[in-house]
Amino acid sequence: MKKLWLVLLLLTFSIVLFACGGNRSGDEANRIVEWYELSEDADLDQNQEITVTFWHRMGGSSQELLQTWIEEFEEMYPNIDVVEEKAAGDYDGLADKIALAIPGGNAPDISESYPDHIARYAPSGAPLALNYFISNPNIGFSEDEIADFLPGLWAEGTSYDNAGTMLSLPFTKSTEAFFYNKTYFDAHSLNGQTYTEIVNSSDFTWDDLFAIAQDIKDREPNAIPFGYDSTDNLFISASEQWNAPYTGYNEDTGRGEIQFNNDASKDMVKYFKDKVDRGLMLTRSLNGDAYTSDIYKTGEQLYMYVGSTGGTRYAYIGMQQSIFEGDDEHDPVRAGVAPLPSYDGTTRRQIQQGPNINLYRNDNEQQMIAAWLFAKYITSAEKSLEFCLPSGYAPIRYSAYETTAWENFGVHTGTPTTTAQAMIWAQDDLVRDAIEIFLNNDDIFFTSAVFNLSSDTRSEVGSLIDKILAYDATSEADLDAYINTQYQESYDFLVG
Amino acid sequence: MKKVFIVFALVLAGVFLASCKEDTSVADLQQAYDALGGVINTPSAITSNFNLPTDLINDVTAAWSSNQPGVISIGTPVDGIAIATVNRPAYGEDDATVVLTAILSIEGSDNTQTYTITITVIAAAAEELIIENIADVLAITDPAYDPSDPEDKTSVTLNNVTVFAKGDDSAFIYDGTGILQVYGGASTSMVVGSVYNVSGILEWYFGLWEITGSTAELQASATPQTPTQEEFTSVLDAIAGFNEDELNAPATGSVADGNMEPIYATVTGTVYMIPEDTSNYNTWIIDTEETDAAAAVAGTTDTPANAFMVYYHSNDFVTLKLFDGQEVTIDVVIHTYRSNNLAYALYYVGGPNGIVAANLTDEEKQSIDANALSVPELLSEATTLDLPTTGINGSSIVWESSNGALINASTGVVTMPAEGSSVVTLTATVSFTGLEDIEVEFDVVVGELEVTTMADFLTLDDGDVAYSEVEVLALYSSNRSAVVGDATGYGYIYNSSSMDVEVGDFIGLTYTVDVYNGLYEMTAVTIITPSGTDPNLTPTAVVWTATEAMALQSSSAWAPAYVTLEGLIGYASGDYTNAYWPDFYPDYVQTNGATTEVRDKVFTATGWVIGISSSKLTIAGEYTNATNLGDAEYVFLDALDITLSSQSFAEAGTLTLPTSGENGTAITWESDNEAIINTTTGAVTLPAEGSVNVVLTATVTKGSESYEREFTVSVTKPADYELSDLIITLYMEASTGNNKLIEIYNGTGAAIDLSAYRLVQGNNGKSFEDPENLITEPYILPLAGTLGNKEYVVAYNPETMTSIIDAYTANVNATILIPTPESGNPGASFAFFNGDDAILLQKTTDGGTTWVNVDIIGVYGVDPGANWSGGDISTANMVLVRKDTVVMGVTVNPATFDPSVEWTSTTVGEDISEICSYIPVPPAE
Repeated sequence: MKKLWLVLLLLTFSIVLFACGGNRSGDEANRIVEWYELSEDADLDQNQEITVTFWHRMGGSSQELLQTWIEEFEEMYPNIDVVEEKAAGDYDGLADKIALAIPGGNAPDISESYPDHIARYAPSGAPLALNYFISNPNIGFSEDEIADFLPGLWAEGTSYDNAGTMLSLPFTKSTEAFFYNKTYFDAHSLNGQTYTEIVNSSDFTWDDLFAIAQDIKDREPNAIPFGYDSTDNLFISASEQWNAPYTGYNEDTGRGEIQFNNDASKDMVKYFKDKVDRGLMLTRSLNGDAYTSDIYKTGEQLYMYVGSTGGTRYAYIGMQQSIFEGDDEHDPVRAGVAPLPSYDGTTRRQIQQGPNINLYRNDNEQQMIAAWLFAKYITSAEKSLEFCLPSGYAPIRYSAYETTAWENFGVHTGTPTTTAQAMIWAQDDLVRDAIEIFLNNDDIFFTSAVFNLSSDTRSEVGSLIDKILAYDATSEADLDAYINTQYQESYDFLVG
Repeated sequence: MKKVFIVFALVLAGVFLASCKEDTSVADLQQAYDALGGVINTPSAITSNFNLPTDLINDVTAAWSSNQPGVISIGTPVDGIAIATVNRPAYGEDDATVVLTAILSIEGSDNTQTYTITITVIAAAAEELIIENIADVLAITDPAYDPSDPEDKTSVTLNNVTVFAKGDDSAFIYDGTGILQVYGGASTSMVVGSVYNVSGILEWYFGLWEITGSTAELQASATPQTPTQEEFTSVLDAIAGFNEDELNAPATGSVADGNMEPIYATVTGTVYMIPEDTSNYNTWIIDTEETDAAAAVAGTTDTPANAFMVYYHSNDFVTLKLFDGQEVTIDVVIHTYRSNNLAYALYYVGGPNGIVAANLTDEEKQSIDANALSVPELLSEATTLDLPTTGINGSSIVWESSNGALINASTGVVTMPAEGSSVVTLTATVSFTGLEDIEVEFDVVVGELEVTTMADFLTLDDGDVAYSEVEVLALYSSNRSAVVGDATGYGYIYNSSSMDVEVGDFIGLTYTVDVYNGLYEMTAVTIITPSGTDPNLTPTAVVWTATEAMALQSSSAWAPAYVTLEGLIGYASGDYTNAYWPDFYPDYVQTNGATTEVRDKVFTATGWVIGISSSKLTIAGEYTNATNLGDAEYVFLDALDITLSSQSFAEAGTLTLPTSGENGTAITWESDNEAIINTTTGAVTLPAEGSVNVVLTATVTKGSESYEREFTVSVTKPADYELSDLIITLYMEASTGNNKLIEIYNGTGAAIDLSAYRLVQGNNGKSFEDPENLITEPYILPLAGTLGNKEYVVAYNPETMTSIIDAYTANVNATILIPTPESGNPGASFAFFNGDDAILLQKTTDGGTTWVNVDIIGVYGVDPGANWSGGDISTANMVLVRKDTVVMGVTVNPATFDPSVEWTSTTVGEDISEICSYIPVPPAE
């Protein structure tokens, strides 16, 4: 009898704990959000009408494609109604809208999101931990399916804590790439190698790049041979390569923090400032906010640039027909693409971009399951490829690269019958090359620390480097003083 | 026991409820509280209004308040959202710190939860602007007025602005407070001298503010205002002043760096067109004193160009170019610094007659006036021409018409002929006092042109204007190109823009004849409704052999032909598929539109021949009858695959001649000069002299099929290069024993009497000039004998290994061997150098009174310590071999000596592999 009471007492204690939201897992304290406990036998109830809302910022052809996917999905799951909504025109607006909806209990079931957005939502407990959905034997992913995701992209979903909480699935990912005028680069050499050979070597460095730029400049004094469109990304990627802290996690608190105000970072910026001052480099900001690829497309003056792989086709779009086709004096301009150069030839690092998909927790398990199934559907290899090929974004799954659609992509029969077709084919070739950079270099991509100020920090360092690159210094001391002041002001602006 | 459980169950329920009821509302409040954390993303940097939620999860409501309502005020909630209106501290004031508080509560519960957040509102970055005039715009330095999102751009309206200058894409306006550029929009229709109210969007571009997307309302009764013109008589001084004022800074910075107000000015400078530059940016105004124009127009990011770039959207740009090389004074608007051109840029705004060229000679004035004239080539409707009677430089111009009824030279009135067309010749006689008149003729087609048949089309001249009526037979290049025809033949259109026609259309077209690689093309076409009858052509293909194709390559006048080419072999050329045509090889057939399906097949092409060059024929059509390759194709393809390791020999060698091909073919070879290239062994033998071209014929055979391919191989015996004097070619200072010698080569082309030469060892820095350290007789080795051309003399230490001397003895070119004599004789110590002793080869022309250096190793008069060295080569313990590229000895004692510059080292020791191996390489021309 004594034993019985003891058992009852323990049972009571545990029930109370459960009822009031107590812990069941030893490492739960480290989880950024509580994991939703989806039982192993959970499955979609096909007799229940379920509505799932998906907030995004896609427009145009992307939104049309999404609508097509929804139609396909709803044919497979007739009891699920997916309502898509372009909730904002840009990612920041989308994040603001979701952040406001969460306390009101009006959050969507799925949304596009960047990691810092999810970090912003996390204190509310609203982001749905996907761990038990992924592992669910009925609706989850098999080990092979998980292994099918590009590892770097998959890992981003677990970057929020050290407890393995999975808060997002990769969706439309891109990186930056080094685009160059291949016609010109094939025709010119430096130290016994064509420019093309130099930029495609695995130890291609910034010094190599600017040696080429100087060689061009020596030949064409009016040239500004190299352009970099996103100075935000320049700052972040170069910081990583220079081993200059940008943002990171505080070792003591574990929280994200701003770290860019350091000497290594300033040295990095001065490196590029020197190149700008020598007339070797142009940025979008220095180009009156016009993309540097606009100059590149003239076939003169600017022969290489770093831009997003999501905009790969813009290496040709807008190019004059006479430039593309060539004339009596100029060969037809064709573009090449390669990974970014590195600082020392070994530390090849470049930023990984593009939104993920995340789900939101609510009281209706079937609604979460339906949202999960839709998320799975739109992150499938086939759908990923459908989204990527028209643009240059990278398919997120290895098997996407084994599909017939991918194998046939860029393989054209016959001869282009029109210039427009020839240009499309050339774009396709470049997109394929750009995507293969993503596929073949998974280890060089990184994402920076995720916390509530990470997005603002990114914008601020872009403005910071813009100002410094444009500064007309009277002396090195003057430049150093200016850099120190601007760094401090930017840091203070963010930290307060 | 059962009762115990019932009681327990009741107790358990009670405990459960009691433990949770109180906590439920607290937990709900806490959950709502937690959910607020992400609402304000960056509380440390608030600059604009934001939303706050008031209806929260779990039926929680939030009542918000601000401790500084003057900075942030909370509006009345609507649909669960309250707007926080932000009133930023004014520019120059401190940022404001505001505490927002939300009281969270649940209806029916006494529990509340207080949420607070401290917010920093950033003071305004710029004073709030009221834009009423141009000066207000020019004063803007707040980047907020240049947002990247077009939807956020600022609209402005500027009243009563005068257009005082224009380009073909812009107008420049002035309102008494400043100058601004209006780009695009209404600018094209605005009139210089008129006053408008202009509305548009502010755009910051290349460091200047401009108005885009403009509309303009004419203010007819307003009085125009014109800005004061500055005068720049020196381009250099003007630019120096601009630089001092940092007018270029905004273009490379941002709005915060200010902007450049356009400058209305007269500029005196020299027009300079960059030679061979056909771009839009090739015309500049340089200083009249400038002596290096190319340098002047090349700016850097640090220093703007010392010249003004004339922006190509200037009106009368073409006229200004006529003054290339002339000093001119012109009205301009210097509108910006173009960071991509690294130069200040200007619009020429003076009009067609506004270019004052003070230093023009009368001849130049007359020539420019003549060249500035232009008349349309075709006038197909009645109009009035502007035929100027005075040139822009004052020339007098008289016009005459060959047909005054059609073009009246006095009035410019153009009258259409009753039917057809006529060519009227207008003659402008440009007169300048004291000079012979210049006559300029313009042939103008007036009226409807006579129909030129396709047969006659080929008789026209390049540049002729003509009219034809044809049926469209094929279209290419997005309808920019077409094959057309009539009953007499075919023609080809190559137009710069897409034509709105379809295959089968019957069209009339005026065009200008252009001949390209012999192909007659109709360019600059205008399509009109034809008056004739559609011929409804059905072209019949003619079978061509390579003979016809090759004939076309040399034709100076041809039109498209509809042909059939048989026996083509498809191959991949990048993305494209082209074809070999064995009898046409090495030229190939460009098969436009051929698919990959005909690659590695033999097929037939039927279509239009629309291009020819020295290396290819271009056909566009259909590709049929693709079949697998057979022996006839295999022998051809294997013949193509043959490559020779070299087709140019300058020394004897061996040529590998393949005897079988990849497709199972056998290859046999014949040489037209077996003595030079033996096709059995592949041995290549140099001719006695000069160069011989040997023709090798490869016959590739399979079954009954064969294909011959010829290769021409050039075999050349290099011409002898004659040196100016003797040269030391090998230096041995071996690591063991006294294996020491000096090898000298005679490459002068003639025998040399060695008695005029001597070898000297500057032992440990000894010299002839230092009495304390004088070179003595034992170190001076006289040479003797006659050394023939291409022969070597070797002076060696008598203790040198026999094997080394034997090697020289065996070499037919080493004709004189001189061992250093026994002690007590001149030169007895010469060959005992050990690396720190300079070696001199000297000669005399006066019987030994004076000696000059012919070659030197080391530095004469200097003791280097142990040796001279450089690049892993040392004068001690090594064998040094003179590089073949060194064709003259060192005759001037050097300050330093790096042996690696002119010598190579075979190895440490006594290596004799390179004795007598020196073959001088002629220096590059």
